[in-house]
Amino acid sequence: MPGTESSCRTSAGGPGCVTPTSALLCSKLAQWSLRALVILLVASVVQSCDHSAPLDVAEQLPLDPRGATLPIRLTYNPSDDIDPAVGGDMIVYSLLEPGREDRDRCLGYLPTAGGTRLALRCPGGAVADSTLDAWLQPAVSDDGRIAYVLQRSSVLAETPSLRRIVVAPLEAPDSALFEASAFFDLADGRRAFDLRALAWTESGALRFVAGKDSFPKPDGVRDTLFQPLRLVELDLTTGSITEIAGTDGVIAHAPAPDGGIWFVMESTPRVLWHRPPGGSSPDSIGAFSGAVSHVANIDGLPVGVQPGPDTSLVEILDLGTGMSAATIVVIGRASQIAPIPGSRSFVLQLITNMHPDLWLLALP
Amino acid sequence: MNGLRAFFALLVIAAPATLESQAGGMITGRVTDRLNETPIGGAVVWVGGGQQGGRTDANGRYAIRDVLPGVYRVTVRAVGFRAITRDSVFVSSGRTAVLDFVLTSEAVALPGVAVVGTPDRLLDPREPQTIQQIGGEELRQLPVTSLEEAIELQAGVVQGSFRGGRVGEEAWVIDGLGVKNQLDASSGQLGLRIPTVALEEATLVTNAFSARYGQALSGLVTAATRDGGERWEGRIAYETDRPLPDGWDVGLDRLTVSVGGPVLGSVRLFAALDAQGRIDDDPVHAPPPEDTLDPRTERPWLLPHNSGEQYDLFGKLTIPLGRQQTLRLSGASSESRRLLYDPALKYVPDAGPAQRVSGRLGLLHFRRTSSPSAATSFIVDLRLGYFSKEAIRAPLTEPTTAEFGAFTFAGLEFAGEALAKAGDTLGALDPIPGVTVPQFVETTPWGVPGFFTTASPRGELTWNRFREGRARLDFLVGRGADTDLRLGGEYVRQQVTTFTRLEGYRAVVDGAPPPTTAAFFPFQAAGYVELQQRAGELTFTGGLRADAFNGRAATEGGQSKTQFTLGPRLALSTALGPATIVASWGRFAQPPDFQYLVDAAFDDTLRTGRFRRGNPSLGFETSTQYEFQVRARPVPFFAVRVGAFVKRLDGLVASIPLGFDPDSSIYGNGDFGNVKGLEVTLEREYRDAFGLRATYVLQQAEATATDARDLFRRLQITPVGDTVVPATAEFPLNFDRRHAVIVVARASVPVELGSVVGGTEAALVARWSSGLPFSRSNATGDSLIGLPNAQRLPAQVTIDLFLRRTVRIGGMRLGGFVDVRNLTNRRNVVAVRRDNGQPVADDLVISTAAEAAFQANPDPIPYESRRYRPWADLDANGLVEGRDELLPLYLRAATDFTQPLFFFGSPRLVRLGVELRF
Repeated sequence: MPGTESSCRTSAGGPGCVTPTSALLCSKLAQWSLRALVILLVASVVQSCDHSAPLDVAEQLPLDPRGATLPIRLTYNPSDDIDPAVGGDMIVYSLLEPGREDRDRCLGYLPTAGGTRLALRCPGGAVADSTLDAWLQPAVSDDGRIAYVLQRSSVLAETPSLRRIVVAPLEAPDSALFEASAFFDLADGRRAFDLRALAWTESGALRFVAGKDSFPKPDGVRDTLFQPLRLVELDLTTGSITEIAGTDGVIAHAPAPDGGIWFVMESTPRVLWHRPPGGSSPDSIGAFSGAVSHVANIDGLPVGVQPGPDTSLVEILDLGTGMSAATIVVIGRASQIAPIPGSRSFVLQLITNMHPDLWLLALP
Repeated sequence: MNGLRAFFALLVIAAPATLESQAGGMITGRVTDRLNETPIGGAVVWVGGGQQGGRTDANGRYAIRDVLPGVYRVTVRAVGFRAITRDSVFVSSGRTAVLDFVLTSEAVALPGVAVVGTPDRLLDPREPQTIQQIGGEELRQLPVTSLEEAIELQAGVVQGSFRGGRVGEEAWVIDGLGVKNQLDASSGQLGLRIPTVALEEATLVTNAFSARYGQALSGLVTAATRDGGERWEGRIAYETDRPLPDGWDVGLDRLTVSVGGPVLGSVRLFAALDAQGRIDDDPVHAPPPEDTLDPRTERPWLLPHNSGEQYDLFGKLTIPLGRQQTLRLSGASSESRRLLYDPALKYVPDAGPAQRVSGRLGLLHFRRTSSPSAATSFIVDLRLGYFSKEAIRAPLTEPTTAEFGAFTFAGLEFAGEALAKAGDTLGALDPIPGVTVPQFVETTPWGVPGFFTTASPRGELTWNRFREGRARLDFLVGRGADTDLRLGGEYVRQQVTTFTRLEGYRAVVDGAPPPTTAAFFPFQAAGYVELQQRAGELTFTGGLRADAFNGRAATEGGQSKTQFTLGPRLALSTALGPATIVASWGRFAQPPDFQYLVDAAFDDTLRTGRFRRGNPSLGFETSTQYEFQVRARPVPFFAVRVGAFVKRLDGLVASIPLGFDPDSSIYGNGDFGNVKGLEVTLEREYRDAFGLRATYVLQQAEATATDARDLFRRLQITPVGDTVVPATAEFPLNFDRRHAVIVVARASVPVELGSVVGGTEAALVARWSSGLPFSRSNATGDSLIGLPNAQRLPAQVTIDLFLRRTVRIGGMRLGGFVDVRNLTNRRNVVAVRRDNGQPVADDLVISTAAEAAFQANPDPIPYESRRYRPWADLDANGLVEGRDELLPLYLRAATDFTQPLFFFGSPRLVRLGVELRF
């Protein structure tokens, strides 16, 4: 290369360029070093410069709860918000979104303090438009699973054609880990095909009130009435149903602090029964001031809900006296109650204006 | 002689005609004795190592034909005379290099002389064709980065349309072998790009072209690739806009590498890579939105999910086989991957469809030439080629992750690609795995449902693959210096496979259009003969080409028929006084896009599930072109070229309604049209550090329909099968650009002016062009308002600048350059809405869209919903409800959605580059 020769000549006499051979080697070495240097220099400049970022679409910031003092209204959905359950630092509930074309009932996920919903999960699938799919009665386990009732009916039918108990990851309720039919026979031959008060047990089973529906037409319009049969437990490992003795006609239940079960019977709706762990016979441990429809264990205390048409009572039972210890009066017809673990707060389902909403309250 | 000239001039005027030959160039000249200046007959002249050459006739004249573009060493030897060699003889495609030799006797001590004559190319009648040449080096000195961009600088080219024709009426010839995307050239890409660093030269012919080539109506682009040199040379360059501030930086990184040299004996290798990525691969200069909540307000650049990367590879082995044979093996591979921005997916940047287009080319070229000492030169070229192009457009199953700039280096995972490749229409009846059901986005600033979705509502999966094997044999017989006869033919076997599935997120039983697929094996065959005869300053070229094709797509009654056509071509050129005149006439033909041979379901912006019936009996589309050109040089170094042409287009594919169902039609060769034009070029040749070329094009391109997919149809077939033939009114074609001015200026600063700016090269390209036509329609898009293509877009202006400074450092050349496009940052309108003729939707359109969205979604938004916006809850009751609270949100959402992003051209684009040549 002419350039090579001339550059070597000009540097002749310099260090390392004494003989023609070494001068040539020196020159080539210098050239390649220079090329490498240029490439490295460009690479380092490039590395140090970042490109502009594309248009950034920021997420909308979630809102805080609407109101600072209890009770706080958690949902303003003009349609139904029902079946609250708490677990995994969130409230999971079943809702019907207004305007939803397929009229499926979804699961909503709220922060336990309220505010903007964290997520909404809805039934999907290819048959979504020809059936009404409802995800009901969610229950959240400590290990991040959710159990719920999948109820499906034809758009023209008055009664469901399918009702199953589904267990799935909390964040993906449509990715079923376990499914079992809600249609089964009890040991005494009675057939159960509906359920209420689905809850997880400490051992990882599902506990619920097995029952059946009746469809009276008192005013010419068909209604659906739930008839409780017995409290049962569903083993997710084997899929087997275990009936809990002495719980015929149970309408509500909650876990007792000793590992047993508190429950209320349809025949004695004021009385709170306790079934100790180990399977011995249940005992009456107290009585509410009126008939309760739902019970809960809030901070170790038995709490019952006494629904009324305009006002309802949330009553705390004193386990020492077996009598009412305190009562909270709420406006509206209350029903499901879900305690927030580790606190005295709870979520209450309340109908104040035609449709049920969820409210956040706390025991005094 | 003057009488003969006048006779031919009259002939030219009486029957305007041209044609041309697209091949290598020619080296010609005269060999004389220095002693007495007499011609030396029987002298042998050859190029390189003797692969090609010629023998002088009794007048001492010789011609070496079909020399591939490049720089050559030419040697002459005659008995009794000293042989001499001339280095650095430059040959370019279609051009003639004149090289005269003056030999001295061996008995005389004086050396011989070789004189390179530079014939005035402008006035040389041996160049009948209107070739617009783009040298490989020129490509690197202009503000262009691809051959396509360079071609856009030539007269008569508009966005892929050549001389007003439809897109896809051109053919590419790469190293002598035709390459065309015969499947969907009118709506798709070629898929193959030759890296610019691998180009020795490219040419564009828009008037007429040699009978050697077909498959085109309006233009021919030839690319000659580089061979490896006799010593190792290379170039590495990197371009970027990283150092530029936000708003100037579109995320560009480009690396080009080329290297070539001898690998084993006389075998030479050349290889090139061009890799480019841009975070915003289609930057737009749209005005920023006025709504402060729109995220584009603060950052009106770099659209999300709009990045692209492309990789172009080229390699070539040149293998001399003895003195008279050469084998060239070359291969090219291109792949472009694009994420496709969709306004509906603005708020879910990771979603959205993507596209991958890949092209592969393998070429074997065997050439045998006669001995340089042969009285009649003879060249045989055998070319065997394989070309494939595959394209897919579908949602991605996984978001991409960029590793460096826009480069992901990994392939894209498309939903349903395996189904498409397998042609599995049964499996595709179910929802396509990975295609997400679109839901309305909750996280827009406006909250309300409507307009913005989580996945594309189209859910489109389109895939196609075109493959062809091509065998071509060419013979060139040259007698003396003035007679060339070419003949040859080619056979092309093709394979077409297509697959389309729309709304892939839902099953066909749930209402999605059924998938469509096609697989067939067309063939094409052609033969040609062409004679070029030169007589003094008169050159005559005549050729005849016969083409045949058969789509071999099954019809209801059996196989489709083989279609035939003949294409005669004539050209005549001569010097006439101070000018050279050229006249040409030719008839050209191309098979229709094979996509029109088969049924197709597609959707558009208005409706889904539209259906077009394919027509396997479609015939050739043809054009007949007349051109008359005058070239003159009124003063030294200043050239004037004026050409007028008329091009008659016929048998163009059109969609013809079947009955009165607007969504059902069939393709037919139903349209015809005319293109008339005048092209004027003024050129001050690059000399004394400055050159300038200005081109003006006046053109009118009209046809009976504007587009094969457009709304207007010339023919209609009634439900009872009658054909209704309406009036033969012609309307502007889509690329009917009436006026265009292109100015290309180059200058360099003399080195003597100092070490800082001395040696700086500059190139400036300025373009002004009148607006393209478009059709107005009603708000629903179903009915045209006025005549088709009766409206015009505004004129466009761009100024591009390129600066380069090169220094020599230690035996290598290190250069830095700046490439600026749209220097003035002018906001060019490149499209408009059909309903109002403006880029921006008017208030009525926005309010109508908002009202429709509100009526479809009037439900209240509760506080806990992610759609709830406190500022919109005017009565602060925890619900955004009612018309007063909801409609303003829908209006703002509609305004956001209808932003006219892609109605505007590119903003100012700047790239900085460094290159190292060694």
